[in-house]
This record gives sequence, structure tokens and C-alpha cells, in this order.
Amino acid sequence: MVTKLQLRNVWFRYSREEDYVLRGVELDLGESELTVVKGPNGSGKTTLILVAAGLLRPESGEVLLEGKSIYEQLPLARRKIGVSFQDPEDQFFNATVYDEVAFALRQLKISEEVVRARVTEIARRLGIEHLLSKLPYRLSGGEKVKVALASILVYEPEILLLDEPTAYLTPENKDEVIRILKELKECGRSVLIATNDSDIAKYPVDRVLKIVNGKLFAD
Amino acid sequence: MSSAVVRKFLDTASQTLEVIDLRSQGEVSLIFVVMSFTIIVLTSFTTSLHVVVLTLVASVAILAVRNKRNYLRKLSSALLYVFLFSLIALTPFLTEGSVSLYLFYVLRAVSTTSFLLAATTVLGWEKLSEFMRKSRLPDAALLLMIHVKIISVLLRDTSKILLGREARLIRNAGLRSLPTYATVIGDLIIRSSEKSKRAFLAVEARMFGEASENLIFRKSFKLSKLDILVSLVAFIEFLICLAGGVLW
Repeated sequence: MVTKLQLRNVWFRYSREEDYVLRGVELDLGESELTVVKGPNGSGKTTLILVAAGLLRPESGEVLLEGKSIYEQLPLARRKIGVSFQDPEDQFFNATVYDEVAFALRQLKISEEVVRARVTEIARRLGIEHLLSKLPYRLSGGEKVKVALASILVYEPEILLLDEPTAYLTPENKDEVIRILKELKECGRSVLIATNDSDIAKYPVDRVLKIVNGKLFAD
Repeated sequence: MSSAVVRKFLDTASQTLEVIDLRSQGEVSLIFVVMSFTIIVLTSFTTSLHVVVLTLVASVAILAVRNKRNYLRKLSSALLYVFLFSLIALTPFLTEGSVSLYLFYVLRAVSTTSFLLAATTVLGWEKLSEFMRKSRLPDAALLLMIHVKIISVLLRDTSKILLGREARLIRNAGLRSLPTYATVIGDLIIRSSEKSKRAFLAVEARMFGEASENLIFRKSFKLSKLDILVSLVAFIEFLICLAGGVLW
């Protein structure tokens, strides 16, 4: 199995006055792999996702994307890695759901016809077609999660780093989201889910890791 | 001031900011930008009622030309608040025998704001930050865009905080409500700082600025309906100001 993303002895803290949030984290995320990182609140799950995406720089250690330092290839990393945030509203900054989903594609200079086709297609897959003209802030919790997911899946990143993707979802919606993520995994995508949702254990995933006080363990 | 009125104002302001597009809905010419700027300057300093009324009409016409009729209702409610605030803010000009001048200043404030809003719906926030990006300041452009979006988020948050306090039986009425509003500001500062950080990461994660070279003004010299409209308005207003000698 080809390793897509690696974290090597990663130590991270937000400021010198604070304790380390990640302590010597080692993680390999392979191609076509669905990995779940479980942990209680404040254990470092969100920070792990942000560091793995190259959005935060660790104090020491390395983050490697396909064997090379992620920081030396950030523009490429942004295209290859899709990140969804714990609170979906954090990533909304467009006037409509359509613009929100289309944002990344427009950054990639893709023609508006292709953008429209891809946005419609992903909205249909996630069942949010009827929301496209609405304001993202006015949606329910579950709808916001789906829009956040659509805004990432639309540009087809190879690696998906998802922070609490099943939060706010009903059991039916949860099944649907996990089904989509498994489909993506079958298509060769690498998926890392950080969650404290105990229900996630009932879904067949490749690997479950546990994060406690910034240290990552095999579950 | 009743909390319900404050919340209504905050919701309207956030909705108005939300409907103003982030990105331009089409190509925009430099003529439009220059003429819009001219109109805003002329209207801001004119003492001619004709100029003020013409600017107000032009802003409605811009929205009509761009098929933004659905924005008219939201923008008009925002303008109503501008009108109410101007009535209060400009009271120092209200002296005996100068009621008409006072009303003129209020109308001028509303007219300038309406044109600014209409022009921004055409340009989009992204276009406004383009100058910075072209000046090799992409981070500043990104920050500007985030700040603009964060304003509407914070206005909505303020409304939520007030609602939450009301739900916990904190009465917002009269002078007694002042300490409540003061503590809301504290909450907001903390929230805004956290939200800005997260919004910055979210925008960066989705490749903001990769296509910055794509965001250029139309190069061909072809006048659109909007170019003609704003040029005509700017020209007429300039003539009115010159003829009356009352520009400043």
C-alpha cells in the first residue's frame, strides 16, 4: 500500500506558555485507507487534522506528503488534501450554498460550466440540491455538515481529513455520509476521520486509532 | 433601546452583507470602477439635491440592470437603518431655520450608501481586494476578505448572544440594559478572534488566491450597459456641480 501522508514524531503546541497538544505523533495514512482517530474532547484531534493538512506547523517533527515535506509543496498539498472543520460554519464565507461549494473550483480556474456541472453532481450525491440557493448560515446542523463535505468533495482531493464529520447528523444521515466516504475509499482516496462519536465503531473501517492527551495509540 | 429592535437591526445588517457577492458575477470594466468612485465623491460633497436624487436613482438602476431585484428589498431595509442613524447622527446640523439642510444631509448619506452598496454588488468583495493581490499583498487581500465576511458573522453572533441572554431572563430595557451590552462586547472580542483564526485556516485550506491572475479587469474597450449608465450619471452630476459651483 502506498503511503500518502506521514506524520513523523510530531510535537505541537499553540504557544510556548502552553502544554504540548500533540506529543510525538506518528501516523501513516495509506492509499485507499479509511482511518478513524477517536478521542475525548481536548485530546488533540482537531490539532492533529490541522497539522496533518499543513495548516499548522509543528514545533518539531515532519509532515510528509507522498514522501516529501508538505511545507515545500503547499499549493499542491492544498489540491490533494481536503479538510473539513469541526464546526462547519467556520468554513462558510460565501453568500449561497452554491458559491460555497463552488469556491475551491473557482480558485482552480475551472470554467463556470464545469463548475456548475460538478457542483450540481456533488449536491445530488449528498442530497443537498434543494439548498444550493440558500444562505449557508441558515441551514440546520446536519445540512451544514453535508454542505461542508460537498465543498471539499467537489474538487476531488486524494486525501480527506475530516474533523467530526458525523456530528449533528441523524443516524440515517450518518449512514449515508459513511457510505459516501467508503465509496471514496474504494476509489483510492485516503480518509482520516477524527471523532469522539462512539457509533463510528459499528462501521467497518480499516483502522481505529486512539488519541489521549496528544499521544496516538492503536486502539 | 429594546433588545428586539437591536436584534432586528443586527440581523438586517448581517443579511445585507451576506447578499453582497464575494466574487464579481461577470467582467467589470475600469470605467465602471472609476465612474462609480467619481459618483461617490461627487455625491458625498455636493450641496445639490439633483445630484443626490440622481445617485439614488442610479443605484436602483444598477441593481435592475444586473437583475438584482431580489436584493432591493434587503438593501432598502438596510438603507432605512442608515436613514434612522443619520437622523440621529446629524442632529448637530439641526438648528433653527436649517431643517431643510439637515434633511438634505440625511438624504445625502442615504444616497451615498445606496450607491456604494449597489456598486459593491457588481464588483464583489473579491474584486475590491484585487488591488492588494496585484500589489503582491495576497495575505492582506485574504485578511480583508475574511474581515468583511466576519463582520456579518459577528453581527449574527451578537444577535444570538442577546437572544441567549434574554432567554436567561436578562431584561434589556432602558439604561439598565447598558451593562448587558457592555458585556456582549467582551464576548464578541473573544469570539471574533477565534472565528478569524478558524476562517483564515478554512479559506487557506480551499486554495484561496490560486487563480488570482484570473481576476483581471476586462481588457477590451467595449462599453456595457452599466458602463454607460454610471458614466452618464457621473457626467451629469459633474455638470450640475460645475454649473452650480457647489461641489465642496
